[in-house]
Amino acid sequence: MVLSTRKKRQRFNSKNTKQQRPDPIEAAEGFEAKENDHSSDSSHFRDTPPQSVLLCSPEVSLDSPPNAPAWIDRYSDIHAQTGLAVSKKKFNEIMDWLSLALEHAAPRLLVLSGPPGCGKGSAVRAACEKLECKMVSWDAPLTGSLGISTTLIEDFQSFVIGTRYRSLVTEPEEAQDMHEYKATYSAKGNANERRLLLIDDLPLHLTDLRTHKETIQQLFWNIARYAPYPTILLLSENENGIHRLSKLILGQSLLQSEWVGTLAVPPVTTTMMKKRLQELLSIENITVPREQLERIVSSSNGDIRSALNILHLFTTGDGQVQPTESRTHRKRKRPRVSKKKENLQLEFDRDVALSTYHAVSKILNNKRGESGQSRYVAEEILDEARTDPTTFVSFLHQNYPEFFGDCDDVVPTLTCLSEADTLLPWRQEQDLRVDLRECAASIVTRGFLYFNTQPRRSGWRPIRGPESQKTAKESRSHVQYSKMAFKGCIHPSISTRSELCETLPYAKKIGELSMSRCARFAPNAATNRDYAYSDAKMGVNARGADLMANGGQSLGVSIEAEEVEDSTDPIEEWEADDWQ
Amino acid sequence: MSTEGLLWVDKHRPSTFSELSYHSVLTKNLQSLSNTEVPHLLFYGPSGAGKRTRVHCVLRALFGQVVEKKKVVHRTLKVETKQIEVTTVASAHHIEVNPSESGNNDRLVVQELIKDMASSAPLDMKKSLKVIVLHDVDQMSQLAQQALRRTMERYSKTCRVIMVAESITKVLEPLRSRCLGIRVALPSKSDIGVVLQSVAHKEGITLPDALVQRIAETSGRNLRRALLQFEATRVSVGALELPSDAQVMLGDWEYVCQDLAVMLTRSQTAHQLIAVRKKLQELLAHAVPGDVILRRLLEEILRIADDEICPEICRVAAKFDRNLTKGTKPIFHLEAFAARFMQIYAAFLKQQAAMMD
Repeated sequence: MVLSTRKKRQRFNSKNTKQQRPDPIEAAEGFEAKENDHSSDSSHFRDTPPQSVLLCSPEVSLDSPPNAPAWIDRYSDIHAQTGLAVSKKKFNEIMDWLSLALEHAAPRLLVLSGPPGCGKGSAVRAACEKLECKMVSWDAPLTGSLGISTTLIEDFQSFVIGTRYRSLVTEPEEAQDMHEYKATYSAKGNANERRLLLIDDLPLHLTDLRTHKETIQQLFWNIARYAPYPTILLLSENENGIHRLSKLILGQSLLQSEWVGTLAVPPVTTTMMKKRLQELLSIENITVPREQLERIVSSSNGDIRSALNILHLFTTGDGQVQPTESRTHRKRKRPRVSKKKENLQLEFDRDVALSTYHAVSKILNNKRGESGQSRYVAEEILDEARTDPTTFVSFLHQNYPEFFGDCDDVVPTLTCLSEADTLLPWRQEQDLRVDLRECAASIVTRGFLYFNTQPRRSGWRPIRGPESQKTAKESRSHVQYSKMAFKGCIHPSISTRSELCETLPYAKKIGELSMSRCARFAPNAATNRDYAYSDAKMGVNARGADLMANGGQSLGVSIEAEEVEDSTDPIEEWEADDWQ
Repeated sequence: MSTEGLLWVDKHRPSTFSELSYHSVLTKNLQSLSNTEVPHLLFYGPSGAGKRTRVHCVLRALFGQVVEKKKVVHRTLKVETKQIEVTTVASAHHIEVNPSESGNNDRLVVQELIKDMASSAPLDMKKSLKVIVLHDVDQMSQLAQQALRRTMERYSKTCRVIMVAESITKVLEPLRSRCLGIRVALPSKSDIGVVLQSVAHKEGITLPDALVQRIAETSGRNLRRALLQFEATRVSVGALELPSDAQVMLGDWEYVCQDLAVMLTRSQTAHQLIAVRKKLQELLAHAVPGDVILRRLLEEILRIADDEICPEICRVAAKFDRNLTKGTKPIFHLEAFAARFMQIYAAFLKQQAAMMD
């Protein structure tokens, strides 16, 4: 199973070269012996089951010199030898943009966003090489000392100002030493040279970005408008935060302007990743069993950098691949297929986060094993989902009806939900109460897993986000509106519960009815009723304004004239949002 | 003085003790109380009984005509780093506020406002007390109520607190013991009839007794609701002389609750539950509090359902009402109640069918 070329084998001592097809035990022994030679901790390896040793190929691990750069760095420009991780189509899009921008010397900005490790950086580098243009990148100074946020911004500011002058667009000399692995090119000399400004991930914290939003947006505005060279901004955004970051950094108006193009790079596909890794392995002359390669690929979640790291770790057996105690809880997750597979998972699985939607659908679909027991453990799904428990519960609640086959199952589940909700409140009593939210979430999740005995299996049922937040928002704006509309007419203009659910609906109705009578409509209350919500606006608006105008004097409530004027605007604004 | 645009509830609201028409014993007691030094007061009783009217009468008796000159003040309280917007109604002698409106910040609102009131000494030393009126005290968080208790003690020399609450059980025990509790019961049906007739007289409307009876019935002895229903009915009829068979108008959300009850009894499927949920969300979006919906829905259901299952339904409703007050998301509990009712009702129907056979 471990194959190596003759050339490689020659480098090994005779003991190892004998074992062309070592069985597990022998391989372990061989490995152990070798380790002893290197005077490293041998007991370490004796404890490990032979299977785990099988996973690493000892020959290769010994082959690599102790100080060899990690694969991740060695193959940072792997595209030169193999191919890019991004799809051909995406690469062509980048090429098109770049060649267009270079030709017309249009000062434009491209925002290239995608999850980390999707190969956006390499794609840009490759495109630059192909078009023979030099890349000037801004690398955040590592020596940012104490006031990091300001110095970083100041540094970036000076970089941006520098970009306005062709002569200043050069890479600082020392940058080459500082970032030896980065493919940065010193761009000196010829002013007619083609150049590209590359801004690789602003190294600012999100809160910094928020506080300095205006400054940063102004800077990018300058770049987009006045920079002499095309600029590419690389942004690491995960699926959930698409465009949120770019919107924050650039601002809405700039993003939509003609100077800025946006391009989203998807995570690397499994086939593409497998292909690339295979190519790399052939360069390294290593063979990794297909099954294991597949596992690495799937656990990397479309992040080629992580896949490379895992693969490197996998192929060098320097002892890091010990199964660790802390991971053993994962054993519960899936039924034991074989010991070998189990070990594999222990060692190389990355902690993969489930997206909330995925986790919710897992629970709602509620696949059960042969014995009728649920295949999942509620808490583990909750852990993997990494969502706020309250939100998770809301998600479950929003989506459950479509997944229940039996109506009778709904009742205990909802009762569970209702009981758990009493544990959820988490207001200002923080220091008085224990946080029970996780407990509540696990009660709910278990309720859904346990009580849904006949989950419905058919059809496409998309998972939706919870509506409760929207409802709360609407309710708030409703309160605000009613406060405005009935400022003068309700006794003390303080909105209490009784006003919201008694005075207000009637006032609406009265206003609406009097309006419809004025307009010579037949006041048929029974037919009007269904439309009362939407129709009420007319009545209330007229009456509200009316009330506001004379309510003050009548009640002895003195409202300043400006106040009344001011208050009319929010009503209209609100209406536009809510009623139409 | 123009009162054109005002709702009748507000237009004909009594402002002195002499104008109050029912609970005469209570009125007399309050009157004599207002002549002496007033303690902290806690008015409690169901909605629409006339708590706030009585608070206002007390204020009027204490300070005279001046309290009628009220002003709406939007204040911004700065506490620590937070800024809290509060709407208050204030006169020279008193201030009204609904702390529960500020949600989680109600504690700070209570503390800051009382501190503010107490620190500025009143000009007229004879009426040296300032009054702070707190609405919906039972909706305030426990923490705010605790804070209120301490603040009340500290500033009791310079200010008095009048609290208004619907349910006294949600008010902390120590807070209750610091106040004189005054229960304002709902007016009887005949009381409501008297008030309605007097309003009709003032508006120049002929109101037949049969209609009065029906309004008193549908309003559930809630005077505010009765007056509003009366006005709505009057507007929908459009004439000064109301026919005795005129339809009594209800609030929109009450119609929705009626529909919901009918929907629940019509079919008991998951599909129906989705439709019910949609309606409930709609109600909540229109700022109708969850417990009010639950209560109303229960009333409507009890009207339709057979006596046999009513005790069980009430028991279930009580359970979910408890969860609702303790929990965060009213929709969970309302939906759970709806589902549970469906189950009970479906079982009942099945049983009936079996008995028929």
